Amino acid sequence: MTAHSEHPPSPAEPPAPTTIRDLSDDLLREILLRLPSLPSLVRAALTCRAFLAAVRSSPAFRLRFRALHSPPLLGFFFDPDGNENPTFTPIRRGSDRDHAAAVRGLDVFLTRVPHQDDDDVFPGWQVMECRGGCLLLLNWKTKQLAAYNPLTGALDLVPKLPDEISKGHRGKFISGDFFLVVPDDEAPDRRSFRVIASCHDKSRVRIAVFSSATRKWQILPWSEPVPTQPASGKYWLLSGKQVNGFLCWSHHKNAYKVLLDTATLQFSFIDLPDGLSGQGHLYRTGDTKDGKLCIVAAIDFTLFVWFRTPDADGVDKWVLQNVLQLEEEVLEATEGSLDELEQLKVFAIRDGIVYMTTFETFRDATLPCWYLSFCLETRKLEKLFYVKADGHAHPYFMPWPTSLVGNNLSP
Amino acid sequence: MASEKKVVFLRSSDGEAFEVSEEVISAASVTIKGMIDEESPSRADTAATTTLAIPNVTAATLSRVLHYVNKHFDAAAVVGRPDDYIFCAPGDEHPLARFDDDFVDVDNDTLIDLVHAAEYLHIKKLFDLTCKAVADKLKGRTIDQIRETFGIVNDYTVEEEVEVYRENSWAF
Repeated sequence: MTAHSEHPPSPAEPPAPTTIRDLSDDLLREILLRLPSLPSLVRAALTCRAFLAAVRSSPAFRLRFRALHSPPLLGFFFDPDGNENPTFTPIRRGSDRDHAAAVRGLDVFLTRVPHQDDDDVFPGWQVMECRGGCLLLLNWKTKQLAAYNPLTGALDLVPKLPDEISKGHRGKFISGDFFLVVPDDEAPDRRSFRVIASCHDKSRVRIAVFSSATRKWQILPWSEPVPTQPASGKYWLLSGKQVNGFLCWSHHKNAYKVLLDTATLQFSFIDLPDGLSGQGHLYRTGDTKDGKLCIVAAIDFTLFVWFRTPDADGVDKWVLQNVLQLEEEVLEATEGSLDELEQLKVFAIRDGIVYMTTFETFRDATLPCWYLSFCLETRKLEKLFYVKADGHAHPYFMPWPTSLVGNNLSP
Repeated sequence: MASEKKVVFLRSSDGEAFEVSEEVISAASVTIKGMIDEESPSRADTAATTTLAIPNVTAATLSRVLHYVNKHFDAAAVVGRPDDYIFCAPGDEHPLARFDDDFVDVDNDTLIDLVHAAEYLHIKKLFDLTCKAVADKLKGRTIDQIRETFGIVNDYTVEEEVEVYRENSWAF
């Protein structure tokens, strides 16, 4: 083989091959768009400055990528009732090794979150909410709050909610929910966040807001009395949900919801679809893929879907969008029987995807149940996992890393 | 002559000419169809065959592209379903899926050349196929493995690398 090496036969030198580094940003983005998931995109984009810049410089690309891929759901945090520690159940995507790497990278045991008094048996942390890749944790013993990103390990301890929030209450003071309000993935300052705490007395609601910028709690005035005075019971407000720029709570009996705009911090009140008043256990509020408010109720294996849609006069109304019979599909997918599965229960709606279980409140809690997702747009039903219901389930979506969005690195 | 199929010649950047059916290449490549349409008035009264210069594509790549084009766009070819390769998994029931899998089973540089050629010639199906094939080579690898596979040099400064690592340690 070496005989001719000194005088290689030399026809015209073959043109130098192009390599992946020679691709224009546009071509590179066309390739990146065809990666299976956000974790694959992160790995590819981080290989060098040019790749990173191609992603970071193009909001249009990121928009297309989000539109073409399902939300990067890594799994669910479960918040067991009582004083047990939160647990995590991953979503498995067989062939996607990048997804698996991201799941492995999650500190699901919350090992970096400190606990007081060195009580290793009962650290006391409970998951309040999960937003923007961050968990909002409340310590049931110390009332300490923490915002923790289990993917990056970033931890932010939030001071306790001041007792003054109860000042001036009329009738019984009832503390409410905690919400973590984070900027969206494209916001310029992704590291800032707010925690909103809610409470109510016999006829009014109130919030306090903690801002990571000021490191202080600000307690807002009590609201105006709510439209209909509660006829009975001090717990007249059901637990709330954060939905696309709003916090919302349903009245336990009457046909309305209390809404808080998280930008203006103003309260407003909206009606409920017919037949849902007093039925808080049947439905959940969430948002559609394009950010509309929606309600999904499950009765047996039928989903009733309402979208909040402007009518001819531009006034927002609840419109019954769909009635979907899922019995056959669920039975087929799970290979289960009606007796076993009993009924569907919706527990979250995010970006037009409904998360539900076959768990029924009065059934034997030691038996496992199916966790399912259903896309309102494509009508695709997916099995997530089959486990014992273990308290409240919080979907954990991987956030877009700031390095793929922000401009903290010069190209 | 009318019964005979018209052909055109494509001359690669390194001077090699390839014969291809005008009908087939026009169906496949928006760029070449445009070139042919532009030439038509002057061509009508001459019997001479047209030769089109394809300055951006080498002979090696062009011959591969024409192999693909003849397979996918010849009138006699199998009627596939409307294609969108973005979400078309290998092994799907598409009649040419096996051909396509073999077609993109080439080294990285050849594949990148095909991406460029498909873009320049504006052959959408080939563009989708080759882009997807590159994406398939990127996925499932750690950052270092991607760098190694594609000969990408890590050009971050130490500070940048630390910053990127802090937020994405799982990816490394």
